[in-house]
Amino acid sequence: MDFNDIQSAWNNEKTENVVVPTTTEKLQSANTPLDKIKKNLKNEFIYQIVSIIFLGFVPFIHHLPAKAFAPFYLLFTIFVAVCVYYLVKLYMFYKRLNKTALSTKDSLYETYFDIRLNMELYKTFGFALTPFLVLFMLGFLFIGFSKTVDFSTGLSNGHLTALFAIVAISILTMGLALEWWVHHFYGKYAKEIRKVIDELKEE
Amino acid sequence: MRTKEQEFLTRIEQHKGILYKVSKMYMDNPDDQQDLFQEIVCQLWKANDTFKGDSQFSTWMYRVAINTSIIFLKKEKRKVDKYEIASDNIREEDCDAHIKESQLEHFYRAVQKLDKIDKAIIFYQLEGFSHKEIGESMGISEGNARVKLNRAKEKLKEIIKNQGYGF
Repeated sequence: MDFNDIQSAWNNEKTENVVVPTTTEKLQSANTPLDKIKKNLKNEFIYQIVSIIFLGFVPFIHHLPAKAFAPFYLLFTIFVAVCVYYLVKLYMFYKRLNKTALSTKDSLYETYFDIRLNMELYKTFGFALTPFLVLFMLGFLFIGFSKTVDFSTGLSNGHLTALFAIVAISILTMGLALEWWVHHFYGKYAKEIRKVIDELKEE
Repeated sequence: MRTKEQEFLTRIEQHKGILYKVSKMYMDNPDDQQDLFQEIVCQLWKANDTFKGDSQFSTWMYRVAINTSIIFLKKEKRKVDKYEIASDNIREEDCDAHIKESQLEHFYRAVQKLDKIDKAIIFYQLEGFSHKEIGESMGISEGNARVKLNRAKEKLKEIIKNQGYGF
């Protein structure tokens, strides 16, 4: 066998039995990295909305004192604004036209940078939520311990150390969790495409 | 809308052989090949409005098909390499049609071992693209396309030889 034989066999391959869809309605894209990311994003969008709604009812569920309502909902409003900003931005990001008709190199670069951009946007989103997480937690700790600890005389060194440790651990955990999450759900696709881009480099 | 869709599906029907061959080059088992075929048709439909008619439909279609195949992700549940199992049954027949069939099977089996870019370059070569046209479609220089094509052909030759088929 030589390349002429391959060429001849290729030209004569029978493909009459290949079945083409009769309609475009049922065509669903699901197996490209951007489709996977869109799917992940859609799920997260739903979870995020459910979490926001749930968080909005927390003062009632936990019977918070009336004086805590105003600061809670002030913080909650800013939290919702931040979430809406990022979620809309992420949604708009994926509504753009696909670029599969570009040259292979351009198409791969566009896909790669879309994924990288999404990863960075996602991390920023996570970090933007961290202060809220810490503030909500401190608020609940304050309300929870106000029955047993007298805060009017100030915090003891032990309390301050515990508070500092909680804040530091929360931020660290959030940072690590975000890195893992982004790498696990998006990073592997970026890495795979980067590998193919490298194969295209001039020799 | 209906006419546009019908026109698109007619074109796909005319070029289905090529889409089938691309799917076979990039995926090693029939289920994944079918998935990739569907994915390519889907991406072509999604990108249909970007086809301005200033190039041939087939040229534009090749590009979308290859770009989709390169980034296509296999379904994870299919771990068994059915193609490897099936290939044990290949027999060399005397009749010409069977020889061609056998050569094609060896070719498809060997091409699975190439990387994604080499597969694309071999595909364009078999479809009669010049080095310049390969370069344009891939977004690389003509010289780079030539170097990559020669290298891919050498790799393919070695793989086919290692399969025990005379080359």
